[in-house]
Amino acid sequence: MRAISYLGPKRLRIIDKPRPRIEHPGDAIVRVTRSAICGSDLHLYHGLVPDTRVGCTFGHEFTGVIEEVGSAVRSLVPGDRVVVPFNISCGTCFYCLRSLYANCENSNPASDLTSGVYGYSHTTGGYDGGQAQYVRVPFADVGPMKIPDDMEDEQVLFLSDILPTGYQAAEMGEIQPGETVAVFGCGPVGLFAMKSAWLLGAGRVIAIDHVDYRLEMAERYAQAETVDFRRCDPVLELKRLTDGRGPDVCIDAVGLEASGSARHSLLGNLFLQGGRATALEWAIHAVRRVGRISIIGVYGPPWNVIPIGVAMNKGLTLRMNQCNVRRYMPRLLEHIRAGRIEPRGIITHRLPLDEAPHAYELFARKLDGCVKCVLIPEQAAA
Amino acid sequence: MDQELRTDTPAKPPAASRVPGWGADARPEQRPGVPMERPIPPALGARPEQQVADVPIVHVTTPPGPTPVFGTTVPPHGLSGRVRRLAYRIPGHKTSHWALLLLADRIDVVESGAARLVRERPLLLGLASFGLTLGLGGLFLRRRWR
Repeated sequence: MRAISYLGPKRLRIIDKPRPRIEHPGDAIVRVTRSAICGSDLHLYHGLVPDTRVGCTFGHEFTGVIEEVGSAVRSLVPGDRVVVPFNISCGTCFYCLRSLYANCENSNPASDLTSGVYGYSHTTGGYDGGQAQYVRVPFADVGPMKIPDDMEDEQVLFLSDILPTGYQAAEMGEIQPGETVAVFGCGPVGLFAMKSAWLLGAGRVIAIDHVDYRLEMAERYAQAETVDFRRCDPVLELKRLTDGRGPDVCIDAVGLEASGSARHSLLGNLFLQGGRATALEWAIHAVRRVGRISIIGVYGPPWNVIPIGVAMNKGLTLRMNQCNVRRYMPRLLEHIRAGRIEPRGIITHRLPLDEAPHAYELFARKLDGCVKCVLIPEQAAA
Repeated sequence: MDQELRTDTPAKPPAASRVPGWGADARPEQRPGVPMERPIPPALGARPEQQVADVPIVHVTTPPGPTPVFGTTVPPHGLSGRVRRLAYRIPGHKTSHWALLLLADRIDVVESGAARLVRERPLLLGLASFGLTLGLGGLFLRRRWR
């Protein structure tokens, strides 16, 4: 089968690889129909995630058709169309029973940080991802959701990650009706966090970024006010826009590859911290006293330099987690059906799987107005 | 905090005038992730059947042994594999665990690149080796003749 293969930082190629096989009675093999490139795939692409091995295949946002199921799978049969959460979750452990699917303790032998994740290094279990023609899906009765017959794959593709992730980011902000929410980062997750903040009743949504076309997208797609941090100090500007107090809630939808601080860039580039925690530092300074910060941007080990003393003295609440995707799928599907969210609105590029290296370059370098790339394997192109 | 969320829905703010579905999930009971940790009886579910490993798997020291399910792509190999095995003998809260994994990643890039060169460009590698041998030999002879 065709699949992307990691060669080293900023180097990918398409290769022929053996098709995955059933390795556990709970497995399914899925023929991929759509696969997206996520912002967090760029952390792998840039070589920032430890234990990213040469030859692995990325991709944790995909839809597909069930090709084969293991002997223990009860809820799926070959031919079913499914959208698959990025978390690999057993459904029976201490965490899964509490609906904390992102924290499953039965799918990741390499770390006690998080559950297994498709195509996201051996730090999250060493599974190949969905930027390929086929992918192995463990615990197939737990994660995948059948796609309703009347819906297209691209309508539900982002239920695999970025839409629930953006929603959970807003939800962790514990937004009360009428509150002001600032979202750092106008990438796909940031855009869905903005849309979700409105669903949760926000009174104002303010987006912070430094890329013109992404700020325009935040205005147009997410109806947000915008702050361009190239033109102002974002902390002072957010306070100016909120009567000097600061937003009630700040959402960090950027994570470890932030721009805007020479100090963080230096420390991150020298591997003296896990990436660049610029957005999180700004969020801590900008949010009002006793405000809430929601962290959904990905940070790498082992540590980051952030002003925890400021957070303590302001009485802030910090909430964070990888997204428990499965529990959000039914409600967000309702929102899509009702037209409250149109996920396809953020897709700017559709490319054949064989052009994945080019797609990564477009996305990583923010070329050609790229917000979201969707890859289409050859057999699914018709 | 969740208990204190207002359950009445106020008037739509002016900024939300163009927003479809504003406030649809304003009430906490409409939010799928509230509370984040759902209460359950303290009994654990059955541990899933153990996947059988047919390739070498490295794993953290606690808990011991691999999880019931794991990925089998790209098993550790070569020098980078040795460094990865060493890293996984160190607990994840130690910086050296992560530093060794990052080092192993860089070694992997070099050794995999060299292996790919041998596999895919043997002629180019042969010519390069030949040229290098000639160059070094010439240098050696030139020094001898001086």
